Amino acid sequence: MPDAPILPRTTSGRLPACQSCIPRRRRCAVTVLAALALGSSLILPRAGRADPPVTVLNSWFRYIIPQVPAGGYMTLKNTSSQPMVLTGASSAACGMLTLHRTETSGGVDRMVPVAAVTVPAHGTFRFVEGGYHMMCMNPVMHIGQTVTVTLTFADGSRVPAPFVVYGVSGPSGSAPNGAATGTKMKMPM
Amino acid sequence: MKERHAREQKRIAAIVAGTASLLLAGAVLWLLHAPPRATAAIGGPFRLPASNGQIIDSRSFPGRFRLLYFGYTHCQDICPTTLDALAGALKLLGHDADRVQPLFVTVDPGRDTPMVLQTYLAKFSPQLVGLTGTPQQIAAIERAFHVTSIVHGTATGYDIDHSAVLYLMSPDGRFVAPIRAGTTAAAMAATLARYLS
Repeated sequence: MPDAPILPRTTSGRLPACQSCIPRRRRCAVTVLAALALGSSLILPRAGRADPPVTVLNSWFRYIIPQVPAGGYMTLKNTSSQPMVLTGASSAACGMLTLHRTETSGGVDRMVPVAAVTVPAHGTFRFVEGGYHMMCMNPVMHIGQTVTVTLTFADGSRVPAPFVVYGVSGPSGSAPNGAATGTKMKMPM
Repeated sequence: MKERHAREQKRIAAIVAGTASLLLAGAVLWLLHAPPRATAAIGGPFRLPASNGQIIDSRSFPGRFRLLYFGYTHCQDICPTTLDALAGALKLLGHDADRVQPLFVTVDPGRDTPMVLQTYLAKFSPQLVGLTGTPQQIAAIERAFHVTSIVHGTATGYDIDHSAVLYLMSPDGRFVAPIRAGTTAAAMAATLARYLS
C-alpha cells in the first residue's frame, strides 16, 4: 500500500518544521488513520461493483430488553428493471437475524418464517408492524444507536444498511398497525 | 255420573293445556331475553403469580374493568405493537384509564417469569401487570377465555400462535367487548371510552 500523500516524511529532512512539531507517537497515529481511510475507501462501499439497485429506507429496530428479540422494519426500494429477491440478513448486533411475517387468520396471530422476499422492478417492499418484519434474536444495542444490517440478495449482492434503534414506541410514537414508519420522526426515548 | 266424569276430564285437560302453554310462553321469553351463551361463557376465576410480585386473582382490582391480552415476550412484532398501542390508548383516555386494569397474560410461562414480565412491561406502561404461572395454570385461563395458543418449533427455538384479541371484562367479571390486537392507540381508546366513561 503506498503512503498517503498527507503523511509527513520522516527521513528526507524536507519537512523539518513538521518533524519538529509532530511528536513521533502522533505521527504514527496519523499514519495509521490515513492508511485506514485509504483502505476503507477501497474496501467499503461497493468496491469495484456496480451500485446495488436496492436502497433501504426508514430502517429501524424496536429494542425492548436484551432478553427478547427486537423487531426490524424497513422499506426496500428497487431502482432497477429486474426484480430483486432478498434472501437473508445479518448483523453483528443481532446474533441470528431472520425474515418473518405476522399472519392473522381465524382470530389467531402467528409468526411465519420467510425464506425470500421479492422487491418488484421499479417498486418498493415494506416491512411494517403487523406484517413482514425481521427478528433480531439476541439484540446487542442501545436506544439511539445506529447498527448495520447487511441484506443479502439472490443475485449475490450484499447491501449494508444503517438501522436506527428505537424503544417500544418506534419512530412514530404509538404507530398504527402497518402505518408508514418514519413519517413522523421522534427522538428515541 | 258418566257426564260428571267427562266434565272432570275436560277440566283436567284444560288445566294441563293451560299450564303447558304458560310453560312454553315462559321458555320462549327466557330464550329471547337470556344473554347469548357465547358472551356469557368467556372468562372465569383465576389466581396467578404476577409481574408485581403479588398473586393476582379474578377479584383483584375491585371496581375496575380489566383488559386482558394474551401474548408472550419473545413475540417480536404483534405483541409489542399491540402493547405500545395499549399504552398509547391509556394515555389518550386520561383519567378514565384509572377505571381499567390492563393485564398481559403470557402464553409462554416457560420463558416469561414474573421478573422477565416486570422488566418487559415496564418499558410500555407502569400500569401494565403481567400474569404467568405453571403450564397447567396458563392452560386453564386460556380455556376460560377461549384463547388459542399453539407452540411450534423454529430454527431459533419456538414461536407460539396466539389469539389476536384483547378481552374487556366488567368490574363484576363479565365479558364486555373484544378489541382486536394490532389496532391503533386511537381506535383502542375509542372502544374503551365507550364502556369506561
